[in-house]
Amino acid sequence: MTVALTVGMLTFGAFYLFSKRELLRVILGMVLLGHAANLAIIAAGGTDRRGLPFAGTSDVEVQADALPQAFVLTAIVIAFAITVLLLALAVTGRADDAVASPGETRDSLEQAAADARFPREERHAAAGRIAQHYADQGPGVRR
Amino acid sequence: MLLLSLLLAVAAVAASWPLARLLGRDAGWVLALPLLAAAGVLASAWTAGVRAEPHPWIPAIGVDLDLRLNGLALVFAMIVLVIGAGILAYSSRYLGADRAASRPHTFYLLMTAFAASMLLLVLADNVVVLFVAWEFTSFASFFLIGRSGDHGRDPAIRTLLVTVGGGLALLAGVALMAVRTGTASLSGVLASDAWSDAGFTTTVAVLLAVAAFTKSAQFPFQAWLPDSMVAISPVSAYLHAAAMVKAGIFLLLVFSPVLAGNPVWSALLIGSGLTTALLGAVSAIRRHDLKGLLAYSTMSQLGLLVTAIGIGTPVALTAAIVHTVAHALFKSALFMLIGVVDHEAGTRDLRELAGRHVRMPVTGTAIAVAALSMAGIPPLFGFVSKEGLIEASLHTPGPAWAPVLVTAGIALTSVFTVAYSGRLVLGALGLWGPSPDGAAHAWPAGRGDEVHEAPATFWGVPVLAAAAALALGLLPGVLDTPVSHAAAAASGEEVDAHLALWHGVNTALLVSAAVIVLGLLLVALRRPVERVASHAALPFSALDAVDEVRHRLIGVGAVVSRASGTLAPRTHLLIPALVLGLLAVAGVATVEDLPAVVGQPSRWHDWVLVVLVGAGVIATIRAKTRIAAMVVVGVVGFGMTLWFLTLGAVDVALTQLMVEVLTVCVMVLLLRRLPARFSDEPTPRRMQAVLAASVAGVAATLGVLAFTGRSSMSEIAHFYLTQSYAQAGGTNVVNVILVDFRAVDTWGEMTVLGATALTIAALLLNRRPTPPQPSAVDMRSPLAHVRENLVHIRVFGRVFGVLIILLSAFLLLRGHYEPGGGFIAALVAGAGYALLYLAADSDTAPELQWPYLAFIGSGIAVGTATGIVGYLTGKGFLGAAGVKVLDYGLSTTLAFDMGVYLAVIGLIVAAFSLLGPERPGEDPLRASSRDPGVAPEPPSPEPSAPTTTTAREEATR
Repeated sequence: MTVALTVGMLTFGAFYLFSKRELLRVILGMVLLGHAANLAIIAAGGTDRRGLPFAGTSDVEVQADALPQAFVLTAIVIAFAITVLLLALAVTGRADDAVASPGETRDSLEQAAADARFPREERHAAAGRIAQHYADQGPGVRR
Repeated sequence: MLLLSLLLAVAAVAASWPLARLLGRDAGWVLALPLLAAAGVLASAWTAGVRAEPHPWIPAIGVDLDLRLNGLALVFAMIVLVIGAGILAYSSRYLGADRAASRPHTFYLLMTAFAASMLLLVLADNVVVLFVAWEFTSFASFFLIGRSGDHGRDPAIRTLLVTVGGGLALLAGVALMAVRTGTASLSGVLASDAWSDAGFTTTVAVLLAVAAFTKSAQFPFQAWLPDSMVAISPVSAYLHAAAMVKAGIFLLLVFSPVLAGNPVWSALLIGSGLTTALLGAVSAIRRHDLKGLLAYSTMSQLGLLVTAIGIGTPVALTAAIVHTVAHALFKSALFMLIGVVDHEAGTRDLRELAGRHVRMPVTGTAIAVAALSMAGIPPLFGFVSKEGLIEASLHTPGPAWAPVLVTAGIALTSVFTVAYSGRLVLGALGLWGPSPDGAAHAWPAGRGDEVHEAPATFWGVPVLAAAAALALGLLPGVLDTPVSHAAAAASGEEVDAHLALWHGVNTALLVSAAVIVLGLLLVALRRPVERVASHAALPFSALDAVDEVRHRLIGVGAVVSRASGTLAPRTHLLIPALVLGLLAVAGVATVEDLPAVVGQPSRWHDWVLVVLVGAGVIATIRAKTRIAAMVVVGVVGFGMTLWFLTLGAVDVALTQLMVEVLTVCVMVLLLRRLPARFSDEPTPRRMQAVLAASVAGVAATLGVLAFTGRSSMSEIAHFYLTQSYAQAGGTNVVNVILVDFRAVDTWGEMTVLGATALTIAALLLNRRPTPPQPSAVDMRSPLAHVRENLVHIRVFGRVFGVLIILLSAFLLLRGHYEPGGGFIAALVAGAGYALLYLAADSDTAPELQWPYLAFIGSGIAVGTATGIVGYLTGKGFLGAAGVKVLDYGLSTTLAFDMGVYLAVIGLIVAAFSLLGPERPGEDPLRASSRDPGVAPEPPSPEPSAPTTTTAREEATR
């Protein structure tokens, strides 16, 4: 009951934030949804047995299921990686995180295409910047 | 033995890069040797009677590396290997000596890979392996065409689109055959009795024909071949003579035993083949670029081959095989020789060559010999093969008009062949004379009037190929045995071929004679012919057609995506909420008896956590500013940590705790680039959102209530808890699962982390982030003293930084037995890095420059290496192998955990070093300096130190 309620509240918060315009709120929604999913996975292993899953420390019958824990452990780290990626997306591209959404009225496809377009000059410039980046990092990175 | 030859080719691939680094362009001489050795191995395997070699690969799904050597495979393998070796040797003079410009390492890598995949293709006795090799050749040619620079990009893409499209047809055919016949073995498929089903046979025939047409550039897929001329001459020589296009011919011949005689097959092959043959030959006599002429000639010659295979009689198949050999010889020779002319003269345009004195006796003679072979003039090998084609066409099965039509088509093509062969020879020797559009074109200044002979090391290989065309013409009988075996494999009947120059006076000879006379007439009348031909352009170009198809496809994609495309994330993200609700309704309506709840899933103290998390969620969604939202979402995170702790998941709780800390740190880096406040939304819209979110929340609660806690411990859980010490020697079961029992999962997750970090790097190194918001910091306030304000963190960091690193190492080492392990240890180290970052003087301080890409790469490499160690010791990929060092049992799992550690820490460092630093020209203090009077100092390149000094002076005043 308690776990189910917590999952429900987290899901509620996640989907509420998804309806917001600001990407940062959507990202926070993703964080909450990650929590909800992780808790649900742990619950799938059962929340009656709560002993630490360490061999030899207690009776096996009271130990918690270790498999969902392993899943969730890696899921947390991956969710962190995704959060960082989304945060990087929040600060690149158009600065419309707070602007009264031009994207919702203009032709979304055209805008997406404009975002994806990567002219050749820009590509060369980007390659130059990457090379410069490595040059700046000094020894120990590359070259 | 067959595997040995394949391994020799693969060894050439492996050696190509280091050899080319070492020897530059001369690596071609060395790399030709393994290919020749592979050819020798195959020849001796043939004489030793080795015909098949099964090698298990993925036996579970019937995909095995079965190799077989029949006559057909032998002939094609010899073409692939011998011509390939010759072209590699030739390349060592063709490529420029300047390594930076000619990039020999990528060239040799791709060429040897091309040869190896062609060899696999012809030796494979498994349709799936055959398909894989087929795709390899597509990719090899794509990269070889694409590496010729910016102008090679579009042709490479067009080539890839066409050939991969054909690859899909082949995949469909392979799947159909494997399912229908119940085996993936090629011999098994060919021997199956499923071919008596006409519907199945016709479907497969169409699919395979489409695949072969794309590969061999047959109408209507011919456009890519002349287009791919942008590649350098050795690539074209291999592509046109031995490799790419011959793969299509090979595929048609392999399936000929079961498909020949099928009316759809014959109609498709003869129709498309003859069209291509004529189209190519007519196009060739209009070309001024000699290499372009050769490209169209390849199209035309392949059209003849496809026609012959379409005729399908043993005689026709024999002729097709002989002509394949003849074509491989004269075409590779011609491409290489035109390459020599191009190299020495600086042009391959016959109008520009016309004004020059070409003094190349050896190259010129060889061009003439090879071109005469192409034209089918006796006593060259091309004459023998052309005779065979005409002889076969005279006996085309079917209605009475069929032989007439096919023979007329082949004869007409041959007339044009003679014409363009003459054009090629005269053009290459500079004898073409002025063109109809005026005098000979001027040649680039600085080049001499005379064109001199190239060194023998350059022309040696193509001259050998041309000499072979002559020798085989004089003594065609030496090929009787291999050609008979190959024709037997292609026709499924005993074939006894007798190749000879002179068969007595028969119809074929008369047709040949007429063809040669008419062709020479066209050469003699070349001025009027050229005038007519230059006007006879098709109203459309096939290249445009390919591009048109490409753009139309993209247009269809746009229409499809328009239906769902919106940039507002809410539209996409709220759909799952509603679907979740529907799922809950469906569940309540249909799920009836649930098992009873086992034990007590809830404890009284859980309610504290429910309240804590609930409060955090409500605060998060009500937050008005970004910084407030970040702080209160942290409350939820810490609530989750406590949840995991009380549920007995101590490792998970530790991970959650560290991730929470790091998430807040990373978010803080971005705050200054985003506005402070969130926007307000009208109440109705908020209410809609509350409704949708409530649906999702209730559904999630119901789902967890209904589907969890209703069973006792599962078998697998019991297994892990009881066996982790016995089987893996660790007491921390979660860690044992991560690094041992389910290490492959973790390995995959590691690569996901690495890929994410690379994506972030690609994104932030290419795109400028949005500029920081102007912040109105009063330079006189104590807050402006960055360095001084950080003194406690610096002191703290110096003492605790070391401790944190020690703690992290300790957690890593003990992870197998106590809470800890690679993930947690890396997150702790990441927190240490965060502390260092906060304490540093500037974002770009030297102590913050950690090579995160190297961390990620080495992490994944270490993880993979332990996996391979496990594989080599027979425990299976990532199986744990233990060693005993000084009484401590050391297992590879620890090394694997270190790989995890490196990958995770790489991600964290990447996040900080990519998101944190100021970009050049964006300085938050300067942003505030727009406000006059607050910071009157001019902007300085060093953001922290000098500014704070002035600020301090200001404050002391």
